[in-house]
Amino acid sequence: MNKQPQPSKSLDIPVRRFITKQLIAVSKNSTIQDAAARMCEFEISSIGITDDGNIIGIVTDKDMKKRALGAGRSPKDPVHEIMTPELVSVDINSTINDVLKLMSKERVKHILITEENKFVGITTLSDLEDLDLQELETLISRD
Amino acid sequence: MKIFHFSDIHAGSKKHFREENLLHIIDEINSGNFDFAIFTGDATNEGQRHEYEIASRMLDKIDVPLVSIPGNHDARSGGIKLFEEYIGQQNGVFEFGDAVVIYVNSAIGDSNDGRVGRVKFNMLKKALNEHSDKAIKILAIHHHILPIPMSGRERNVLANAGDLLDLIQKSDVDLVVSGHRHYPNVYEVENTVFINAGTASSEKTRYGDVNSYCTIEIDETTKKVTTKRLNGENTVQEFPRKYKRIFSDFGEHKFRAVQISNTYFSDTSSFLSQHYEEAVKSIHSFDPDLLIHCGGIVKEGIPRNYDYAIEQLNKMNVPMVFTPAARDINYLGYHLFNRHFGDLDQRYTNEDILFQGLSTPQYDSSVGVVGETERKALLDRLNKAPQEFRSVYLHHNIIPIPHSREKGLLEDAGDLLRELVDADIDLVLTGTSYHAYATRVGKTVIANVNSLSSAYQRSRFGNSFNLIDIYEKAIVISEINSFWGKRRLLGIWERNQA
Repeated sequence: MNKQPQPSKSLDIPVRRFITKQLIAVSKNSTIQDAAARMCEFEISSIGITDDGNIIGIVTDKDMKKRALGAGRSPKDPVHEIMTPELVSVDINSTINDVLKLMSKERVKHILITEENKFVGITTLSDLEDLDLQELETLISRD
Repeated sequence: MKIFHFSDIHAGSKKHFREENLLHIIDEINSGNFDFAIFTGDATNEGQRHEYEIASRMLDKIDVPLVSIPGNHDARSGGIKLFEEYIGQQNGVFEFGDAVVIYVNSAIGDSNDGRVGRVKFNMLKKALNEHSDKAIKILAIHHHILPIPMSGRERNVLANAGDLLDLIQKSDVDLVVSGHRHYPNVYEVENTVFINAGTASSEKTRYGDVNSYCTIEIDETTKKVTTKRLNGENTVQEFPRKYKRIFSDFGEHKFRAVQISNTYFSDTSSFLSQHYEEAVKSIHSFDPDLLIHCGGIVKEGIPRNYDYAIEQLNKMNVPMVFTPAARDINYLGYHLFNRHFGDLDQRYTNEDILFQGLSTPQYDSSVGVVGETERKALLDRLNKAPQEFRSVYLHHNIIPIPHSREKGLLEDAGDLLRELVDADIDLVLTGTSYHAYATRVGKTVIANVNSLSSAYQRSRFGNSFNLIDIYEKAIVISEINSFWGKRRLLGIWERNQA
């Protein structure tokens, strides 16, 4: 008997299930060089910028190229001068679908995740492309 | 919110049921202003009708809303049908204000083992997705998910405990309540508190213990769990509800270790030589202080494989320590390991850091063991160590690993886990089940590593090794794909937290 292919349901799942609820950051007065070093150390494509422990912006690989190197800045300049302060964020209970829609609408590849209005993580388009890889539960038995 | 949790009443058993203890506990429930109560299974001893009649009569005396699930004893003699008749649904969702309790039957008819099969697993996933925004999420399941101390050989019996643990953590479940082993035990695993209430009214306690139950109080900032024994002894544990999410200050970088396992050196196709070559380059590029091999060095413990292992490992220009898996010591392996690698229990120390090896395999057996005498000696050694960072590495897993069947292969995993966590050991490294995983139990980070270069592995991320960075204020563990060098973060954990 032929079975109809089923559409993927994973887009309706809350983003909570797919993010690392940890955010790597540097303080706003760190230098651009320090921020770049930390991004290399952890091989991450974006980093949070904190003021007194709170996230006030993010810096991405693209910002490093465009606003730092490309703009001829000194690596010793404070990193907050190249950050994006208008944060695009979604609640941790939003679905993957909501996140993708927002990424498309805002033309961004990095979105911050909030829980009870506090930042708890960051997700990127490439993280979401790996969704399939993360759905790994073993199907050991019927029942 | 105040919740009462009790388990394993075993009503009707002529030999073991202590009715007066259950009546006492029911009085506690009815007089304690609880919002609701959760009973985590084994209402009866043999799943017989007359036992269900007694159990149902007793549970009916409870005046607050009650969530009940069956246990393995309730599924004996086909009794699971009677559970529905006398007690209630086997699986479901109970909502109370901001809280949700998702409950699943994990019993298998006429077996003591447990299982959350595919349909129920998906039901659980769906329920957790739908209730993602609840402030308090609770899972009730009869069989324990983490190995329980003082439990002898039946330390871990839920077949897909690893997948459940992973789902629980990804879904940010606040509490997991269980029974089964009649020994009360509480663990905090990342943000989730796992509670085993012990037995409320069965005489079959363990290690001379008495009957017990738990009360749970949750407010915005704290989860407070009180284990109450009927001899009046109370243990109170408090866990925070807010966790550190933003890491900006790591402090000084202290040490970098690479953790590998299951290299499977052999001249067969199960050893992936190209993966190994690429991994060697990748490991060198990280310039680690130490390489820790968690066993599965060779495919079998025969001279040809050991010779080949030495040839291959000589390409690795890094200080190394080893611990064997069963395959390393089978055939002539006992002698060969000793001849080529030295002691079974190796260690690495510097002024600040200790990595202590712990050999767990037994000759010609997949079941591993530490043993009571050896555990005592290990803990003694660890407690006397002057180093501020103490780590233990062994082959067998001590917590369930996702994507593999949990067989509880380390015989005394329940006791070992409890003792290492109670001693605040900083890091435990294991190398079994061919899937990377890292989490924290209490203050102890536990990391399992996938196979480096064996064709047999279970992760779609591919063969990999773990990169462990120890900072003054954090431990960071990443998984690195052996072949491509692709990296993903397994976790960051704060060190020396209050």
